[in-house]
Amino acid sequence: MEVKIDARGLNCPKPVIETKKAIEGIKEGNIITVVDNLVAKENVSRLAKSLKLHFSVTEVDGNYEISIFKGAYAQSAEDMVQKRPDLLNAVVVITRDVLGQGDRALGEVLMKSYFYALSESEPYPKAIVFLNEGVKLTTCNQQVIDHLKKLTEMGTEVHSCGTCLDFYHLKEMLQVGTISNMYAIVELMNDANNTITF
Amino acid sequence: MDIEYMIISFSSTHQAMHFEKCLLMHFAIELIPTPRHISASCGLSIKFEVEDHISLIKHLEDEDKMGIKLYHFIIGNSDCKIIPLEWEV
Repeated sequence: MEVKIDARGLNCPKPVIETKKAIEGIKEGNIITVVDNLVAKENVSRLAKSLKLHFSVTEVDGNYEISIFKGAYAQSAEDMVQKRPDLLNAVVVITRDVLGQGDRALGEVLMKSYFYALSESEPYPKAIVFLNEGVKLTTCNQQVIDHLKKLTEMGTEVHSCGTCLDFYHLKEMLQVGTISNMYAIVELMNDANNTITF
Repeated sequence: MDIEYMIISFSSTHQAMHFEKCLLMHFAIELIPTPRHISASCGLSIKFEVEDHISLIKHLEDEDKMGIKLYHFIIGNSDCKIIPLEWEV
């Protein structure tokens, strides 16, 4: 079942209320809410997140379409990816703040370069996970953060390991994505068809 | 609407990293993998805004630009125009 809500022109918190009503109104299915501003997009996305429902956001002609899946309709992340041909069911795992071993300056350049190319190439990975020194990228590396923000807008999830942020005293400095624990990371990797590790 | 930007391509990685250092404090530049449309160069390029074109060239006046090329990219909906430019303006 598919429900479409045109929430353009509606003031906050109307889009969220309408979406919530629609979600509660069906047992399973796909609820698509169309909004015309960033705040509404964030609020509707947050609603889906708080209800632990899979969702994806697409930008169409300056409007945002938030597609929320309920019930058996999207039990697994696989289903979500199938609905989003521009997302690849792959997880990228980054464990250092430089790419590869060798010269540090070159490693920094390669890492920036990798995320630039990743943000420019469809399909985008389902998720990127940052572990150990990798969390320095989601907190301190402005250029990488900009590329990651672009990827999150395209639907990629960005996860930083909470233990690692804590260890490096970077918890307060997270600039993009969410803080995750090892269970969530294991689940992501188990669900993925492919895990790419650096 | 067309997207426009400028690209500098390099003949070596060291050169690209040196120029990034020269420019980073003064301009909003990005070190990126060289766009596929440009073939003859090392893998790294610098991307910057069209409006910085003149002042950036002036900033690099005293640098050795052997093997370094400058391009103007205009990306439309269905086509991509690449205009090679001279270092002298």
